[in-house]
Amino acid sequence: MKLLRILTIPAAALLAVTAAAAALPAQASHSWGTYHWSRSGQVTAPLISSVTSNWSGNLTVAKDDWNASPYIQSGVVAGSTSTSTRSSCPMATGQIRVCNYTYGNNGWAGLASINLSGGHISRGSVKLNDTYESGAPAAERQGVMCQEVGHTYGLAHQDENFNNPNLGTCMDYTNNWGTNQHPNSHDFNQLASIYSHSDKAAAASGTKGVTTIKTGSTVTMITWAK
Amino acid sequence: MNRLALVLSAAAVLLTGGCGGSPLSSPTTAASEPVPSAAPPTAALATVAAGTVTVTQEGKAPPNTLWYLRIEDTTAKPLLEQAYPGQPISVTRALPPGVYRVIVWHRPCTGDCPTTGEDGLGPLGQVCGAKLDLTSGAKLQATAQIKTDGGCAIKVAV
Repeated sequence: MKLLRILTIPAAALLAVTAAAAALPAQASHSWGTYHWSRSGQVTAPLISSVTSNWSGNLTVAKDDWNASPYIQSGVVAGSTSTSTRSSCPMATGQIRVCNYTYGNNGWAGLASINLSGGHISRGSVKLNDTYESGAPAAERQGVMCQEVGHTYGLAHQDENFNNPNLGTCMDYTNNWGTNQHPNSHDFNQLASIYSHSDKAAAASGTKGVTTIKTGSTVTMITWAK
Repeated sequence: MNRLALVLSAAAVLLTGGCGGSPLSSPTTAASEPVPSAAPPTAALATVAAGTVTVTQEGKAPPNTLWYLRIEDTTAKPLLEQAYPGQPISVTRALPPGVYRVIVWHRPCTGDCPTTGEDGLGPLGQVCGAKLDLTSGAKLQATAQIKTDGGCAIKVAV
């Protein structure tokens, strides 16, 4: 009887926990560490368009995609599209600069960088590597744009296996971006998790499974090319 | 700490299970974090036929740039991270069979590059990486091809 009790109590507890978990809304868990923007209300960091015309439509779609979150409301503002600007993609305080350039055969499709100040994201940048992406399928270009911009709001990847089924989000590595061009509900849940709390400063931290490089107060996440 | 920022022994790598912790914050500030070990290195070496990864540099780095090398596993856990102030990238490591990524990047320096710390270092410059599929007993050669403008690429050969 004692043995039975030992066995059955945990089983009952497990059932109860399982039932309780099933009653809760799906929890996302792909934040980029605890990085987030300081804000009063929504995150309104403008997206500076330092992209050439063949990317501007992708940026607009990505902006609209992320603005579907009640916690994000970014506009697109025109920025320099000079070669030097697009190459270096300098950050601007309170904004997210998005650039495309032929960065070379270096293995990555996109880089998302955030600068931290006082425990918050203070500025960001996105680099899209035309060496791999200029001739890529339209769906891939949209997906990569969406993913890199998503990183700058504090999201990491939902999945980094190129070969498993699509999750229906741009935050998922894939061989076929057809159904992975836009955020999904898990992304919006994660943004809610990040931004629905009081605006306290975040401790700097990384995210396992994601290649990041920290240089001073800037953290860069790398999206590898297939 | 000397100019070596972080070098974790291959033996310790052999004993590391799963993915632990966050990526290193900086090679100059996280050098002392040990990789947890569950058994003496010799025990693991006896059961795993390691391969060898050699990383070298081709081309001369632009002046006043500090170059870094990282080898990480598929969970993006750094197994080796090292800075090369004033010298070409060069390292050989024995690693258990598996998939790894070699990553090289640089930062510009104000004047001479520091041998420790981040004083005088600028933002991330070019970064490049490549996957390595290391089989048992294999010897892989990864070459960091560095261009005069700071661009880079990783070429892998068996």
